[in-house]
Amino acid sequence: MGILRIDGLSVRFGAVAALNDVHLDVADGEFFCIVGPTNAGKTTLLKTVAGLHRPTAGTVWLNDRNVDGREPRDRKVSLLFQNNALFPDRTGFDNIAFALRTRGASATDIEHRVQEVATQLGVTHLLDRLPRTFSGGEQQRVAIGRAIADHSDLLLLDEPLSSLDARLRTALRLQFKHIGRDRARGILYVTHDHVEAMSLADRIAVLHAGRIQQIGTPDEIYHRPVNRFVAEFFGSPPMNILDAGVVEEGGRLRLAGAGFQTDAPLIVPHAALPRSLQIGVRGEDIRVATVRSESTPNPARVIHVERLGRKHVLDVEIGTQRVRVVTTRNGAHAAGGTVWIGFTPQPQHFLDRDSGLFLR
Amino acid sequence: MAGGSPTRRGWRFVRRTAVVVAMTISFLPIFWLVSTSFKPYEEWTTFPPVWVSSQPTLQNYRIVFAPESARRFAADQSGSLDYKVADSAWKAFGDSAIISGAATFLSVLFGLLAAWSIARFGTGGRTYPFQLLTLRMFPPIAVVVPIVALFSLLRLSDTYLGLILAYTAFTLPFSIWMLRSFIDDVPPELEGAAMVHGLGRVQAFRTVTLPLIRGGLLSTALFVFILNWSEFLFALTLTSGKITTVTLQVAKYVSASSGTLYGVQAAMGAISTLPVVLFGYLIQRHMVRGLTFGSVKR
Amino acid sequence: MPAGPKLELRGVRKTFRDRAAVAGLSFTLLEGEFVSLLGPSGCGKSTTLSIVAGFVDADAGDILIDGRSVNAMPVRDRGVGIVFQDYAVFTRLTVGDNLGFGLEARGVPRRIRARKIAEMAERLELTALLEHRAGGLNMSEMQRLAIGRALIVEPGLLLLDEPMSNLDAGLRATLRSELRAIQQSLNQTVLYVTHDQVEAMAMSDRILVMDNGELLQAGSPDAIYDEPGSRFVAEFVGDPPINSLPCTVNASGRREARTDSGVTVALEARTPMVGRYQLCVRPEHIRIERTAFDGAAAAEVRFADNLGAEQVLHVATGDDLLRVVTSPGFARVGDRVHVLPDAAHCHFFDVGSGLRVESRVDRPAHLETA
Repeated sequence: MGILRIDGLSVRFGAVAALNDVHLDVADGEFFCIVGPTNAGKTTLLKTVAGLHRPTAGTVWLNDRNVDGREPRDRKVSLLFQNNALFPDRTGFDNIAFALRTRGASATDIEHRVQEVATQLGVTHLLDRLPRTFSGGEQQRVAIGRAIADHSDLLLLDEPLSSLDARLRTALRLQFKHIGRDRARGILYVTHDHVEAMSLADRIAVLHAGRIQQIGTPDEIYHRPVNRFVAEFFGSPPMNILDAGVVEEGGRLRLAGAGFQTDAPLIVPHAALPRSLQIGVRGEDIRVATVRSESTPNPARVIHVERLGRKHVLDVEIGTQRVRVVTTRNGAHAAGGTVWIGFTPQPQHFLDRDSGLFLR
Repeated sequence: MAGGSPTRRGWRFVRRTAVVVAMTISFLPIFWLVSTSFKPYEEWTTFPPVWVSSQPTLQNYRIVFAPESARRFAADQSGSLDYKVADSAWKAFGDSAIISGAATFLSVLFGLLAAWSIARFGTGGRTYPFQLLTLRMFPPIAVVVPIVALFSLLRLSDTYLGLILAYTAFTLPFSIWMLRSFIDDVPPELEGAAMVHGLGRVQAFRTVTLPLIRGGLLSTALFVFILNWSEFLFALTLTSGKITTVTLQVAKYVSASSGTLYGVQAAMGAISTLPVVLFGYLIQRHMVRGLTFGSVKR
Repeated sequence: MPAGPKLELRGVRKTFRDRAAVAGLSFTLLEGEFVSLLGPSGCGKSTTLSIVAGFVDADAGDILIDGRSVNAMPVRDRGVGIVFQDYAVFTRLTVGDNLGFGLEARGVPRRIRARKIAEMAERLELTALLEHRAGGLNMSEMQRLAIGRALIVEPGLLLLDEPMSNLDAGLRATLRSELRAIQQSLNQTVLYVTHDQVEAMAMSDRILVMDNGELLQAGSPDAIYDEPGSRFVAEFVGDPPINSLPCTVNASGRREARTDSGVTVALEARTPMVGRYQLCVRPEHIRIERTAFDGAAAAEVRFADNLGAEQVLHVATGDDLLRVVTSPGFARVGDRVHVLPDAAHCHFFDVGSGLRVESRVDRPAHLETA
């Protein structure tokens, strides 16, 4: 039994289709992430579920109840807006207490609950102050407090961490993992940050241009993307897509592209592969060495090195194609130098060059 | 480097001078108004002008409020001041207060509802607010004749209701335009949050948005009130004796032998600006306050 | 030939009301260098940029460009190009008119202008868009246009003020490499202001870490990452963040640092350290095993951040929560594991000053920070 089901949902604003035939369901107790770039329709989706937008077509079921045409307040959802939307003329306490008050909770209940939430989020010192005196992170935490103060069936979170700096983001991400779960039966979490989605979600829906591209667990999305968009959206750096052809060499199947050659994995049925395709390789599945060897037979030129502390990301050119490689910091590679690269493990992802879809 | 470079100091001087000039230009007429209201007849139009009278008199104010006693007083003096204003100005102040007050209330009320609808639901499309304002650009004199005809047909001429309706219609575009911009400053997400957390749509507007635009509401009311209070054309054409507004009263201070009674007009003018100044003073605290206090990043 | 400093700040100071936004800042930029000013919001980095650009006058100190003081020089004569946070391109003008804007303002003749616009568009791959309105550009094109508009007047120094802070994570990564490629092909000197340590690490030749208006440390990304001079720098740089735990080194007994929850790190026999310290160790420098091993502390996995290629485990020992980078699928929430920080990669900081303390005797007691 799901807490949320969305059936064929479309939302149009004038001539613009913000959402196009979206289907998804969120199971009881699930942490579900919607990921996509800006303007993918993520916020529209949340607001439609909350009842703030009217769908052009399709049905929303909350807790097995068709909620079409229902007012937001009758839906038992809670929504955290991307821009906080704290009431500027109300104190931290009054903001957090808002939903409890409109529901008519008793004064002692409100006091108790607000204190509990504020302690959990570390904002007790903000309860008597107005939002304009809060820092960005404090505003965000108070807004989270307002969203979770009252129990709801579904907690909708719209980019709750995007306006925060990296430090705070990591800290709050952890909090979400447990706070949310005991305050709502399900969580629908919108973000443009694939790392956030990977680390938080039970399942992820990838949204692009108003359409769902793929729904799956973080591992499925990362390791078995259905199309090029998903492959390139997840991972830092994104998956490399290289033009290649399939050649037979002494009975062995080889993949060859401009400037490189490598064994094709045995698991790939010969007939399934077109002669000309693209391969997808994650940056961490490419080995780099300063000398040529059996496992690193392909020469490449280093364009740029991103020094990210515990790892370095090399921009290298193989033939005419750009590839981004993740290395540990063992080798000292400098821009302009030559390195030797190899694919280990053998490439696992093959795309149909025309459709942009992965071959499975 | 404290104090900035020479060029910056120069600019500061220019800026301050400009402010002083602007202040002078806007305050000079007010000064002249007050000064003239205390001048005796002889000093109203003399050249070179008298800045501050050496023999200030309350005669002008007496004429405004108690014309009969003033007439007797004038007759005793020299008969130099001949005028024929029957009524005391009290009646004009009362009429103006009723009409301007009611019309302002209605204009802001309807304006608020229309502005909310336009700001939140896009009523009338993107250009609708502009169309409304354009409507107001139409010169009133052009519509006055049909309105007079219409009002006499509807028996609205020379009634309070008639002027109130005319003023409401006349200021509504301004109300809508101003209030819409204030509502636009309040992010719709605030109402959304209130709705998700248990309020209906109207309730959300009333409890969340309305308190935030209180300053804007009062500024709009002041602006509209000033328009109504100083309106002349409709007051002139839509009345025929029973109703007198402040502006009509001012125009009555003309004498056959002495021409326009500038001192009396100045006295009347000085008094009639008082309510507006008072109102402005009372709400200035709200007008300077920011609207959303920077709670929402935009 | 060693290049002279392109930009030099000497003891620059700026106070707003009672607060020192910039408290005596000195640094240099060499010709062709990409340098980032990195720090949290309010650390004074943006004020510094405004002072270099000439929007704000410093209270004290000197700003030198090409060795000449520009203290009293108006903005447009300083030879700096600026890219703002929101790019501030003129959306109603065409891409070409945007590019040519600075040239036109400087009275460059039409023919030369056209040639330069064409060259810049070519370099930034905007040629096909020259006649398009700038309002319709995507973010990548918008960034290139903003940079192109700043670069076309050939500024000696390009200043960028958090130009990517409003963008999606994926787009940032792309724009980072684009920006760096442009910078390198032109050998352009760049001062880049950001609060995002990943951006600073990814692009910079050198990073200047600022806090409270002061320069805390300057160095290459690797140096900043490997040898943070203070606890602030250690905790500010790195993703996932460094582990930071209070610990005690006893004067007698075994030479080891012991955290309050009982994690111990062996120290050199002759180390001069005694007392309370802040122990910092990066998540990739903690050995983690499923079975017990010598010196390890027992721990339980509380959270697991799945990052696809790897995962970050948050493991609890006593009251401490340690972040540890492992391969994907290494352990799940609730599993028992055993952890030991790698002594060679542990950093110690003074509890009061937050400054680095050397645990080994073969290194200078205080690391040069600037």
